[in-house]
Parts: sequence; structure tokens; C-alpha cells
Amino acid sequence: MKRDRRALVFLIFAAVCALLVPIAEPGHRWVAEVTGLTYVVLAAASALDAWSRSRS
Amino acid sequence: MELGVVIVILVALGFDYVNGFHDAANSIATVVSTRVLSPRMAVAWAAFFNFVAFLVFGTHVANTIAKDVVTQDVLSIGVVFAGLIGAIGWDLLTFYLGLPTSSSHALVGGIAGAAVAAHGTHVLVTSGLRKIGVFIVLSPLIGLALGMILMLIIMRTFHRYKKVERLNRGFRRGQLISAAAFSLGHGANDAQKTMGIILAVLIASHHVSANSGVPLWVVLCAHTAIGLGTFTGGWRIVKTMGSKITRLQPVGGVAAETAAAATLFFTSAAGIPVSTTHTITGAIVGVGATRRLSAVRWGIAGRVLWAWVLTIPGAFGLAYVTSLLVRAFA
Repeated sequence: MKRDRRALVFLIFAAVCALLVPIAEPGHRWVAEVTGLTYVVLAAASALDAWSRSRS
Repeated sequence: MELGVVIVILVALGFDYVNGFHDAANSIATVVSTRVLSPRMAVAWAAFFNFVAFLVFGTHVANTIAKDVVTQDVLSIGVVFAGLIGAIGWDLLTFYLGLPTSSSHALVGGIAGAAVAAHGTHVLVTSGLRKIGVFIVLSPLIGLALGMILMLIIMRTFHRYKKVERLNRGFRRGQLISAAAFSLGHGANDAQKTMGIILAVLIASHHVSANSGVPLWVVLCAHTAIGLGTFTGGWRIVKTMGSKITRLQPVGGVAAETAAAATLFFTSAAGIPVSTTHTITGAIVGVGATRRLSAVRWGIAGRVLWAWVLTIPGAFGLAYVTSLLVRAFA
């Protein structure tokens, strides 16, 4: 299967958001957490999309 | 009011004008590149919504700039003047090079550099700078994710729709609303930074008390300056934003502008000074990435990224030198 670069980039973005969580002000930590989680979901969706395309 | 205060307020309004001029591209690039409006109509549309933003949003961002970058007691007229010169110098340099950098971060870097040159590093408010620093990274990432999600929702909703021409016409009209929303967010977040600077000068010169809010005349002057700046907007950056990063259709323009506007509404309400440039660039990349990553011209995006990284240190350095010169000649 061809490697999905988009999923990889989204996972890097999710990791960046995770690194920002402890640095962020307590009142704004949820923003970094929700954004990171969104990128994990987007990475999973992108990987599944690439997988289904490679099968068809 | 003393002459020094008047001069600094005029320079601050000049910065706001340059900000509108520099960032006009963000508001209108997608509308112009998708040919929804002529360039002349697009700048008028954006300038109007830049101006009326003061009716919609509060002044939380202004307070953050006035009170959360450096300690308030060091914000003298000389420090604010040097900070503004550093920020304007950096903006003009990047404008000349055609790079969409952030006027907001230039302002933060400029004020920090001028204050450090005059009083040392202990005057920096680390919690405020941390808040701004975290959102330097987060705002384009939020814009990118929202842009991509919105684009996916639109594609999912309309993918069976056969009347493509009619659909395109609908999105062209929709882009007028999304561009207006983005201009509203731009006016709210960016004009407030100038209000914050003028508020700091007024507090430093004892024209208003330290706990005071932003006077109405400051709000009106700041929005007028940014609106006029947008109205006379520059075209070098329109080209980079509108077509060099990724090619946009009206549907992509709607998704990108709506995503960026939502990010700006949230951050303006929360009092976080973010870059409108970062936000819309992230959203445009997000829309482009729904096709495939190669639809985004990463070379251009990388050049933009370097300009972002260098903005705060660049404006900091220019303001630092200006502050030393002001002290030498004052």
C-alpha cells in the first residue's frame, strides 16, 4: 500500500498541539486539546481514504 | 494633549492604516482570485466590514496588547514610538518582499523589543507572551482543520448535485457573505491591537486611568484607519495568497473564509491577538489539502512559514535599535 503522506502530516500537527497543551494558559488548554484530537481524527480518516482508494 | 502623545497616536493610526493595506489581501484575495468581485469592489466591501466590526466585538484584544506584553509602568511614549517604528519597518520590508507576515506579531515583537532595550528583559509579561506564542502556532492549525472539515462537509453535501453551473453561482454569492465575515473578524482583531497601543499611551500620559476601558473616539479612529488602509490595499500579497499557495474555486473560497472567520470570532471574543494572515493561510492550505497534499505549493507555504518565524525577532530587533536611538537623542 502506498504511504499516505497527508495522514502523516496530520499526525505531526496533532503532536505539535499535544506539545502546546502544557505550555498553554490553563483557560486555553482545551483549545490545543480539541485541535490535536481533531487532527488525530483527520489523520485516521485520511489513512482510511487512502486505504480504500488503494483497494479499488 | 502633549505633542508627543499626539505624534505617537498618529504613528499608531499609521500602523493601523499599513495593517489594513498589508492585510487587505487576506480579506479579498479569494474573492478576487475566484472573480466574484472586481478588485475595486472587493476592497470597498472588505473596508466597510473592517469598519463596522467595532459594533460587533468588544475590546478584549486591545486590553491584552495594552497590559499583557510588557509591564504597564514601562510603556512610556518613547517605548511605544520605538515599538511602532520597529513594527511598521518590518511590515514595509515584508510588504516589499511580497510576504504575507503578521502585522500583529510585528507589533508584539516591536513593543517587546523597545521595552527590553529601555528597561531589560524583566519587563516582559511571560504569561501574556505565552498566550500569544501558543496561538501563533494554534491559529493556522485551527484555520487549516476547520477549512478542511468545512470543505469535506460541502463536498459530501453537494457531490450528487448535477447542476454545476447553478451550484457555482450559489457559492459565488456565498463568498460575498464569507468574505464579509472574515473582514469583520479582521477588523475586530487587528484594529483592536492599535486601540491597545493608544490605550497604553493614554494610560502612560495619565489621560485615562489604568483600569479604564478604550475610549469611543479611539475605537472609531482605529476602525477608520484600518478601513482606509484596506480600501487602498496592496496587490503584491493578493497574488501570493489568492493563487500561489493553491488554486481556489468559489466553493473553496467560501470554506476558507468561513473557517478563518470562525477562528477570528472565537479569538477576538477570548481576547487573544492572533494573526489574520496566519489564520487565512492555514484555512486556504486546509481547503487545498482536501484534494491532495500536492495541490498545496509547499515551497511557497514554506517561504511564508519562514517569514512567520522571523517576524517577532525581526520587529524586536528593529524596535530595539530604534529605542536605543530614541534614548540617545531624547
